[in-house]
Amino acid sequence: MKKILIFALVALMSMSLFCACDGPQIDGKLKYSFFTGETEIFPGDEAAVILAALGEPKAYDESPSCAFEGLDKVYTYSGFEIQTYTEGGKDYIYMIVLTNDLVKTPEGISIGASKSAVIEKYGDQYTSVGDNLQYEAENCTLQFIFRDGKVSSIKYTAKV
Amino acid sequence: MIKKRIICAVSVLLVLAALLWSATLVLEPKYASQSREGNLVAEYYGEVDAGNTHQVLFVGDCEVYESFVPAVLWEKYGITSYVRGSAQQLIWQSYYLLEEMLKYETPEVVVFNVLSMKYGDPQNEAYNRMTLDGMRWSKSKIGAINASMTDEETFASYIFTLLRYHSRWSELSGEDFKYMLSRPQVAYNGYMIQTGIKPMESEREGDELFDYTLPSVSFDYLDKMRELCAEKGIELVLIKSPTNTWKYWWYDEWDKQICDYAEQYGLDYYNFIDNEEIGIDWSTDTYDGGVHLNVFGAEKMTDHFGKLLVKQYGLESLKNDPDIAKVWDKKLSEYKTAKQDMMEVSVKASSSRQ
Repeated sequence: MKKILIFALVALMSMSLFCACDGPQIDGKLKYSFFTGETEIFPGDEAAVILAALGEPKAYDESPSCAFEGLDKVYTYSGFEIQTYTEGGKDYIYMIVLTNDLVKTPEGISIGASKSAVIEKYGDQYTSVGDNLQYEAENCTLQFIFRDGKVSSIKYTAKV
Repeated sequence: MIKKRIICAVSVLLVLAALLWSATLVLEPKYASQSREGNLVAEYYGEVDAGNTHQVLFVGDCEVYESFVPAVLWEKYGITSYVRGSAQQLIWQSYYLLEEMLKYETPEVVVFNVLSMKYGDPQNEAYNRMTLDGMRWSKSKIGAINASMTDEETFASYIFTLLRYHSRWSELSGEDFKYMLSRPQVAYNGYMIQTGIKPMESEREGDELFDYTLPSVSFDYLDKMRELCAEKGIELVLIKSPTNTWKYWWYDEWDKQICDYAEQYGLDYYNFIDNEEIGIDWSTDTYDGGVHLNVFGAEKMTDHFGKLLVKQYGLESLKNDPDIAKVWDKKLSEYKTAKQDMMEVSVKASSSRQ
């Protein structure tokens, strides 16, 4: 009985390891998110609740579109920015940009990380332009932009 | 008996067609009080029908229809022009609009604003509609639709627009009936007057990009535009309007690619960003925080560009031609009246807010 339990435990741990390599799965689909404090942010989510939870931003910018009502907005917080877009009178999270090493992705990558560290955490299913790496998930694209061999920007962009 | 049945069937079909046609006229968006840019593309046909031709044609996105004032080009330099811009006009749309215009006229200079070079894929159905629905049916329109459709769109919905707009019945307003047969004028030879002032305050720049390579399809269409102009002996001039804000940022990496292209094919390219000779004051010459120029900024930009057209391309004043002068003096007068009216509205709106 003890042997069976140990075998089951090892099997379970092995499975969880494989899951980790495939990235965070929700309903069987790969979805990336960003955590700050207690708040988990998925690109494409409605913005109001998230912005309320994040509190007052350090800076705010907005830009109108060419012809339609509604604004694209940028909220700057310590270590990251959130861009929103308007659709049907509601604001949604369009982009999350990590801007310094005060914050990191849930997988543990922050500004300044090496390319090998990114690939180790996110796997080799990426597309690349130069050093830059891009991972596709169901809800967003996740980009790691490199300068001088180190991550200089991390961008989650919603698929809209 | 058979004849009677045929007449009856034809009558029913005609009544049905008339009903569908009427429904289409009512349900199509009129772009009267909101998103007025949706009427820009169709307004050009007023010029065609009146037999007016132009020395200069502008094509491109909002950065042309908010930066160049044909009435001012006439007033200061005697140059006739038309701005065939539309909101988020993609480069393949610019190409097909140009192809269409060159069937009606042969200008001396065509000006293309390069910001749309950044888009390599169809973007947005609503913007597509604002450019494409206004085109008259032609080979160019078919080409433009095929190049522009997003995955969710169908060609049939451009032919039978009722397929697209049938759900608008719940949002119909008086405007939909008032402008059923003729749309309101929104521009002056393609220039949309904006008299508001909202200073540019943000110093934010564009985000770092994953890939700075401009899409190859954009260069394919730029090639087509260049070849089309070359065939007709028209000077193609590339420009980047002076506006540059974080959402519509023009990257140095992009600029270099356009410079290289222009050099390769012997084209002129003018990047007006940070050009102090124009004299733009970003605290007074924009109506939306620097994204677009207002009328005061556009008049400065136009004056500056007019000098270039005369000096670099030898465009001559047509003020001595009485027929042309009659038409254009009227246009200038209408523009000045509309500008004055809008400025008064802006002042009233501003004082009522205070």
